[in-house]
Amino acid sequence: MEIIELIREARQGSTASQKYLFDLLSDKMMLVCVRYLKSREDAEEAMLNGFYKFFNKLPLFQYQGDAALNAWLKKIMVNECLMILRRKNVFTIVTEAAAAEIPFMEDALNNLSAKEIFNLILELPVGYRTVFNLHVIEGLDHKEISSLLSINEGTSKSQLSKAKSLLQKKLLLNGTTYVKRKSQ
Amino acid sequence: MLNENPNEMNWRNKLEDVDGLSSEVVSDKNIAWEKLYSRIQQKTVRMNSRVWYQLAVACIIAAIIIPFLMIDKNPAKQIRNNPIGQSQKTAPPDFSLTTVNENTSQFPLNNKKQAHQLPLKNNVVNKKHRSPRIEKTAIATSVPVLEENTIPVTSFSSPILSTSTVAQVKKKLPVVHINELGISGDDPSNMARYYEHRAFQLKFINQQVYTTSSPGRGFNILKSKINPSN
Repeated sequence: MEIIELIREARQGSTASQKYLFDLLSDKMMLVCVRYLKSREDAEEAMLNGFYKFFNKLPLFQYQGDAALNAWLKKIMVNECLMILRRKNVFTIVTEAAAAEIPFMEDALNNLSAKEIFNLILELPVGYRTVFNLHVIEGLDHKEISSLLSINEGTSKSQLSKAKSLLQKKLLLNGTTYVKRKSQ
Repeated sequence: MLNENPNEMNWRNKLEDVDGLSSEVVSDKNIAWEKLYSRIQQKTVRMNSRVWYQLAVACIIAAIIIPFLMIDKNPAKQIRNNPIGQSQKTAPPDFSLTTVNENTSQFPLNNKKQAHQLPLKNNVVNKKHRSPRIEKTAIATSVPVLEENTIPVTSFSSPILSTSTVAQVKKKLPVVHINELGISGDDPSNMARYYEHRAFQLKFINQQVYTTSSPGRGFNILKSKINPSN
């Protein structure tokens, strides 16, 4: 069954179609939530909240392809994660001046496995991680991030540069182990 | 967007690789689905209860407002729809009092027939033994007896009176009644005058001596004439 048919039936209240959509998309969305929240319990809560809103707002959604559906659902999940971070009051970013852009080690990351990249991101502090996720992975600019997180653009930039520098340090520290493992 | 670098896309795509990150995905989808499904069901129940609650509130508000609206409309309708006879039934105190006052004020001392037309006999005679304060109220209550008997004479005499509004007639009531009967206050002199006046009427009713009582005698005269045997 195609996704467009599943969406049509789920819109009409078909529980089977809703469950099928959940099974199809929940893993991807769980990964997004864990990347933002680190805690699996919080991530699962965010994912369930996101799917709850997804099914409620499904009648308003106009299907324009799988990519659009993924992007919409991902946006819902990110918003849910940010809400949980705000609710837990762990998301406090001190206002800072804009820092100079640090070149990112793209090649080093490409050489890493998915699990390694994922763990590196999870090791970042919550503020750095959130800005890094929003800017580097989701592709939001600093203006959008500042409005989403209620911070200055300069603060967003400085958080991103610090996140990048911290990642580079971690890559350099662990570089020897990665090289050794690749050579093996 | 940062999609220009193909290498960057590569590592970003790795982050969405479910197979490579199998340890991070949902452990048990069925349990997660049951949680989600229970939330969806609760939402439908909540929606239903909310609809019923709103309906109940609307009914209560309607039940409160409708009687008020009806009360506001009723008096106007009654005044408009009442026939002449009904409006006269509501008005009798006015006409009766005016007639009583006219009769009492123009009461000739030597006219036996007019005196017998007054139906005050029983009411006033029985109250002679009471104190002056009690008699005040007793006379006030005796007014409706007069009304019933005197209404037909005065009220139906002119059609203009019958069509007059209730509010206009009511204004005359208290002023005329109090002044004519002399119950304007607790002044003992007024009370004495009042008893003299009533005694004067009683004399007519009892068909006894047709003379006014002297102010010096006061209540003794009244007491002596309660029973015809006296």
